[in-house]
Amino acid sequence: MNKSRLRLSLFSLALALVLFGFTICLTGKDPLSVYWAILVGSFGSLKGFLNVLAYMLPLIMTGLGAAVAFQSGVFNIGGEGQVLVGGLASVIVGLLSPLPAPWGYLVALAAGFLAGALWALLPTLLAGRNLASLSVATIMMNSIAALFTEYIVKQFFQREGASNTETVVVNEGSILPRFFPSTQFNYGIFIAIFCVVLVTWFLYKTPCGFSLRAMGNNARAMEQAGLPIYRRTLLAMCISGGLFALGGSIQCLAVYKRFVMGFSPGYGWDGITVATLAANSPVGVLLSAFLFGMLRSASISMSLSNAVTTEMISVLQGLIVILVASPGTWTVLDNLFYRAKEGIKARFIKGGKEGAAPWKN
Amino acid sequence: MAERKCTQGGQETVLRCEGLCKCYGGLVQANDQVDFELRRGEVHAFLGENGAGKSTLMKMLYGMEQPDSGRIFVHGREQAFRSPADAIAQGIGMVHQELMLIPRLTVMENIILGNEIKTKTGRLRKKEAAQQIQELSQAYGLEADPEALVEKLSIGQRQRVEILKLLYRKADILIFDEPTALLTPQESDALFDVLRRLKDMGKSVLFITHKLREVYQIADRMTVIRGGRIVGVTTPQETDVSGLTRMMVGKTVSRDRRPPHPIGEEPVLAVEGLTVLERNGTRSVDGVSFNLRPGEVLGVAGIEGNGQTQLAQALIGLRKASGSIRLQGRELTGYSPKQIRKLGVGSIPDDRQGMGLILSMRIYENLILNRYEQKPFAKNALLEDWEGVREYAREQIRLFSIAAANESVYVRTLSGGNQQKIVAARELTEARRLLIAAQPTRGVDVASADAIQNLILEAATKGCAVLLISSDLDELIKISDRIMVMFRGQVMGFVEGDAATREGLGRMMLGETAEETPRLQ
Repeated sequence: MNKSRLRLSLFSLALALVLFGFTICLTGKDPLSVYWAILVGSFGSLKGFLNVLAYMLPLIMTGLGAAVAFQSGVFNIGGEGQVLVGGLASVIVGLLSPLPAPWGYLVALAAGFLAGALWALLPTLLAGRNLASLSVATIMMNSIAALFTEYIVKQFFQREGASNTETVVVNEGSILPRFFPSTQFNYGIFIAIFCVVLVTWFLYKTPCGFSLRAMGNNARAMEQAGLPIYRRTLLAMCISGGLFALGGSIQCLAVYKRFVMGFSPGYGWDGITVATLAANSPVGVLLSAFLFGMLRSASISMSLSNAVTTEMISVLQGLIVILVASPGTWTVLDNLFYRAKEGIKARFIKGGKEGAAPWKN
Repeated sequence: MAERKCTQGGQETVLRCEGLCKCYGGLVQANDQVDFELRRGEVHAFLGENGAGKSTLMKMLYGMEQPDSGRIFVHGREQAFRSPADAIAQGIGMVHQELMLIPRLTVMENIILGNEIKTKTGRLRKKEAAQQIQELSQAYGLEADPEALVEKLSIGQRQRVEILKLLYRKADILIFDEPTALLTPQESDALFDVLRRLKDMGKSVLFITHKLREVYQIADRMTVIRGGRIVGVTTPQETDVSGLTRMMVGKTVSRDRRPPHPIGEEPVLAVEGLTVLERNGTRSVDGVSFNLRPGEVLGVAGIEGNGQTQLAQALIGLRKASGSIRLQGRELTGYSPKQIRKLGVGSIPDDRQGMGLILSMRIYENLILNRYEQKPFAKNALLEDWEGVREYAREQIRLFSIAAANESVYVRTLSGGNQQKIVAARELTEARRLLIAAQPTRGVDVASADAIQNLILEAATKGCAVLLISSDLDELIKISDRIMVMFRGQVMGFVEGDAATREGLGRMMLGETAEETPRLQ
């Protein structure tokens, strides 16, 4: 990752924590004790830590999906839809396939990836060569995915006697195993780590990955250099859509073992946040997914203990994204700092010494 | 200008800087202890190659960048600009090379933007603004219709609007960054008249250029910068062209026409009735036909926006076109850029930063944009040989004498000349049969321009056909075998390189056919 970009992410994170502290104060709570609670909740017990890891898993996958798209300069904001479709496809295959583990869940995961890729391909084909309409097309596919999965489940796979829209539990061999029955942390971690390594290698070591990154930095230059831009856009969308979908697949196959309507609290959207904080670096995604996993885990335990509500944690997420996405903030702060320094100097060091540059200290 | 005396002593200094230093990360000192002074009522030419530090100094004077050390005085008072707004507040204005106007707004709206006169309730007082603009344009002889849409204006007219904008903001120090780059010779003369009038009205003009001819037309004094250091301050009376060139580049550069060289018989490229249709139904390229033989350099002259860019894009497959393009007998229409490049065609695009380079990537990455998936850069479909690529890049940096700390430097941090050398290095290695070079030396310093021109000629000598699109007439005359003049998408005629003159080409660029000039074909 670029050094200055890394600094931007870290500064934004720090400032977001400070601003969030003020917000907590406004609600009449003590920010330090809230932060302490988050830390204790995440690292204080093995169970807490495993919970964080469990919440991290889908975020790694969706973060990777967003990172691949953004590095290629393709604005895939249909991640949420791809998560849903991927989850459903995996569950359907898991219901139908008689394969034993591990083949059962591997095939189901592959089906999820494929479904996500196809779901991402569709708006790309519809938008054609017009990249501006691509983001609109992908975003619209989110609502379609929500209704489409609901329809499919209700029509063909609805579990009888269930009040929710949900399927029955998938076949034994297609369940992605958990490490411990008491936590949701599961074998998905192997898939996630494997994907981080694979995506890193793809983006930075292969000719094709290079062409995608180059396209993301300047598509016009790559077009002029002979790259088939449209075909590469389709490829980037497929990979991105597939990775997003795996987030849904892991969640469905390991945590719920079935498809439950509304299982995703917005993994697709959080993936965009995760990737943004990570500056679209796959390894960075791992770290920032962990951070967001902490927050999500904390938000649930905290709202249980009534200290800070779940919505408050969304505020923190929002602050981080706004600050990372607006590097202008830092220019403004830098200028303010400079002016303040100059003001103090002008007041206390009268006239300025001869030969001393005003901006040199 | 001739009758105006250049009273050097006793004139008031309006802008002065002392010991300015600026260093960009990992690179050579861009500005090293620069002292400079601008007086009231003078046109001061600031000369230097690109990469010499001209732009850096201008950016510091205009507040776009902050010096590492040194001081700037405006009207005798020390200033520390943090942004262009600070500089504007001190009466400094800048006309950028790429004009900063909004095409969809009128002349008046562009001028008052950011400095609107408002009523108490916040409504615009357009009448008053229009009147003020009228007064300004009369006082300075800058004709401009306040109600005209900027998009309808020519480049020369737009530049006048820029100047009015500065005057409206009460600027009395005007910085011009290579203002003639996009102008015809005739428009340049008109601009110089305006500059003289500004000078007569007591304004100070700082004129950045690397075109020596212009310096002698307009400047009262000139400051030469080389390698980030001021080489000297002189006047047109004291130093002649060759002396000035020596100051700029440190060595004498050849300004002669290329020596004769063999040209093949069979055309490499045969273009017939090539037409490019724009979305709005106009034809940006309109029935263009020409032949290009191996070893030949065909220049394309024309004011920017007369179809040259679209012609180049059509030839490389970036644009749909009707008509016929034959490369060694093979019909190319409908081919993708990739297929065309495979046949040995290289292309230097005119928009260097937008299309030629990826500024946010490194030198070695930029050098292989067109061949990243070929051997030896890619070991196979799954593995890029980055060590090999870097080795290759180091070699190219040496070969093309690109001034960069190492091959991993981001292209964004390089000077214009060095950026262009990277594009040239990449495209020339691919151009076995045909090179399309659009504005290959624009904004490039004299020494680099010379080097790039030599590289192009070298390719031609090896038998590559070259289509050279340029708005620098001197360059066209210097290295072309023939020159094709375009106007509104059509070919106005062909002129033999030996017989071409600036004036003749200039007339044809404005739409006259080649009647007095010798015609070929």
